[in-house]
Amino acid sequence: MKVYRKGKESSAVIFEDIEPFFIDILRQLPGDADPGDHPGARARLFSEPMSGADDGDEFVEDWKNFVQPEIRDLFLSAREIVGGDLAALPVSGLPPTSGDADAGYGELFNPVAFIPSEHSLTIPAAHMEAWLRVLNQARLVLAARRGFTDATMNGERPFPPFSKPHERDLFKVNFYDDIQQLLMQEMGYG
Amino acid sequence: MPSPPFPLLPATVRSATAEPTVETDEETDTAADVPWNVVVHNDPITTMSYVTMVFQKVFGYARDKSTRHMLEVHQRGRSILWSGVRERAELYVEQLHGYQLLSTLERAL
Repeated sequence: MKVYRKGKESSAVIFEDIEPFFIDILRQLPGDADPGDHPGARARLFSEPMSGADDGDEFVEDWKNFVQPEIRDLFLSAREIVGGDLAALPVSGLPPTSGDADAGYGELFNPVAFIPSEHSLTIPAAHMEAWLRVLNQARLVLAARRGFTDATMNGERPFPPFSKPHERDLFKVNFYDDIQQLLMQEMGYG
Repeated sequence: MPSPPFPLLPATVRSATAEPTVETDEETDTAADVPWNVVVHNDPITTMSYVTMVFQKVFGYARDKSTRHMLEVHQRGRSILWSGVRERAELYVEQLHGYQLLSTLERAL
């Protein structure tokens, strides 16, 4: 997979020759960023807004009623933007290698081989902010679902083939970080 | 609070320990309103580079200053990013939540 920027800073970032395995992972990004009904993931994305004040109940109630819906909309909008960019990518055609132990939570994809495809992903400059939010959101949601901790994050980084959903999701958390770092560098924040 | 909070702390910044830094809005510091702090808390998943970028974007801080605050979160579990009138503090917390940072509003002591 090659990453470059066409011309000036205001132009799009292009991921070229993406391996089918990474196409599959990228296509799962908006879904990974969705906390669904998972209590831990929801609690992490919609965290408490006040600490240390004993008169904050009304504020927190107002926050939940008025501010959190705006934040939810912001997250949803970002996921839609990213989903739109990803829609240009084909389904890789790679078969899932085994059923996921977690019913209803995706399949285990493993690469047959890391052979570059002819497919590319273009992220317009105006969409990069949304991508950064969604990548971070997906990392947090996956970590909450799997209970990743400091020790997990500082431990060994798994690589395919995966035998457990836990390994696959830790790989994704790291892969999404890699993409996030690339985009931040392109935006001048690296 | 577990430590270290950010998984990929480079050695070059690991030794840059600093005293707690509190940013105060000088225009509003003397206002009748009790000052409120915008606090960012430790998070083991969000990377330090993302946190630093968010501080730059939300508060308009320079990269060095943003890095100092990020390290304070990393080393002390929290950092006060800004102090001043409540309405503006609320807005900052909302923006930080929009970037999925753990952030709270807190009455300044």
